[in-house]
Amino acid sequence: MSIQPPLTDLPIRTADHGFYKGFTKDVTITAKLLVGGLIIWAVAFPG
Amino acid sequence: MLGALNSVILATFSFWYVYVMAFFVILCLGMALWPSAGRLKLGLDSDEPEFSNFSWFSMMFGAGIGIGMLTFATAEPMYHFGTNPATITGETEGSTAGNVRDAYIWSFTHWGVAAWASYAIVGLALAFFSYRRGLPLTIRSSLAPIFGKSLSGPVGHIVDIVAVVATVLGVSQTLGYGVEQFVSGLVRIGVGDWLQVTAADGSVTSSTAGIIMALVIIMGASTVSALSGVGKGIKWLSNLNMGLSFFLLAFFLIFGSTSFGLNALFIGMWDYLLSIPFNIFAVFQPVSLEAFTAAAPEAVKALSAEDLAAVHTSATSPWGTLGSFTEGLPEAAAALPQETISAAYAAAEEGRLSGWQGAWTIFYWAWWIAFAPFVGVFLARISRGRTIREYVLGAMIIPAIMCFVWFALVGGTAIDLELSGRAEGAISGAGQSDQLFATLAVMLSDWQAFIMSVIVVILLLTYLVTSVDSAVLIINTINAAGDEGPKARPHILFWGVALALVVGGLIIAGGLAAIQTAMVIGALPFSVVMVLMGLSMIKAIFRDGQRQRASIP
Repeated sequence: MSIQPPLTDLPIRTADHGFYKGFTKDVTITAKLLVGGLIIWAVAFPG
Repeated sequence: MLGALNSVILATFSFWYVYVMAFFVILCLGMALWPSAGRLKLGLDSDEPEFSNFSWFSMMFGAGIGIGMLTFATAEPMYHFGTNPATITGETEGSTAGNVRDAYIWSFTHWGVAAWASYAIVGLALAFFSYRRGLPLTIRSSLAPIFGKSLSGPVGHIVDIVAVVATVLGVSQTLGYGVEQFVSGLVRIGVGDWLQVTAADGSVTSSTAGIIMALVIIMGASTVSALSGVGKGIKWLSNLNMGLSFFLLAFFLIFGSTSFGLNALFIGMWDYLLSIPFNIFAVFQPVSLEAFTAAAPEAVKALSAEDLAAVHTSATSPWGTLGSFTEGLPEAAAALPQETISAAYAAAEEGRLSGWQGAWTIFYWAWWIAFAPFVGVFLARISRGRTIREYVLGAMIIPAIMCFVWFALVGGTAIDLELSGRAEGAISGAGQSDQLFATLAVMLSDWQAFIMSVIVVILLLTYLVTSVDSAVLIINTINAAGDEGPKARPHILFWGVALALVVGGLIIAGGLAAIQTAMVIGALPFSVVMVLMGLSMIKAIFRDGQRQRASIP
């Protein structure tokens, strides 16, 4: 069995313009929504 | 609902949290000691470490634990001095000299090599795959040997999202303790009693106004720091943190219970080393009502369903004693002979141990896991050019010993003041966020205690600000696929405000317990990512060895 070389290049697509320039939109927006949801939950359902 | 979910997770996943932490310890030690793995560099073979050993250790300690020491250096040994598994099983009596060694075993267990192994594994995997393989400095890169190029897509996105959410929750937990202690400090230095409220049970917590005021101060200072230029604010504040931390530690070394503290340090470390093989694998199972009923004496089984449930709840509570259990029994149960009551209490021992473990050990393991992406990215950034052996031993052992020194000198002084009767319960009776200030108040005259409290409040503020600053920087780095360059101000502001709202919202909604619950839940998915990181490292090192033997570059 041949031994594969290790992965040395992992391209991750980031926005090239706009508000999210330089950011991975899928990650940033989803994380913001989840954290925002947690805050709303804490405020809407205290205790 | 959050509380119910937390109970399910604690009951179902206690074993998972315990065994993954044990896995991290064994894996880290294995990689450091295995000759061909230990000598691999976190970077190219020509890379040299960027920082001196002293700077490296100082930065690791500051990032990983710093702020926690201010709350828990006193609170942790003090709490375990009162209750720990040895008091639950009746081997020792709480709040007596005979319980000091067990108090330190558990304090050191929670803040020792297991905690640092969890940070080390994330930093190790990130540094290895980023600096040795040239992949982006983001969490998904550390899973490259398992998922390969698919990490460019949704699989990688999920890994990074899980890391960002865990970071927010882990940092929020740290900030939550810091905010509570900051408010206690403000009250101690005379800003106003309105910053706190007293609950019906007599416990004192921060008022809503106090939390909002503290968060406005902390977030305002953090925003100024974060917008002051790339890293300038963090660097200046980090130096201030280290200076004030060493001053505080030196103060306790000179003016605290030095002999008691040094004894606690050395004997505690020895006891801790001996306890590691048992404590890192120990999992206590909850005792259900059915299991309790089956094991209880016949006279207890004959109680009404309502009374039986009340006896079960009380018997499995880790916070009481046989005496308080007996006093709180429903009328029908209280009429039973004392030996029957004792037997019922004994039948629930494993449940009490499980409750204690969930509230302490599992909580800590979840906290360290949730905090690991934050500390791990930082550890990776400062460890380029070090060998795996040097990195693992440095990151696991030196900061753990620093924690032990804090616990022994600061917590030891608090315990000694209580044991000698000088404190008259003023420290043990204070809330955990106030115990450091209470210790200073017992040790010193009013004006001396005031000055020291001001110093602690300043130190808390600078630690909180650097934590928020660093967290925002790291969250934005993960969101930007590992790009550490400057980010637009709205993104810095968003995460700063989000952290403040998570901390403020959860504390106001349900106190620190609400943050704890959210954090235990949020840490679970990242613990899976961390296990995969460990497996990735094993696979990568194994394959590197194969390539080396086959002379393949």
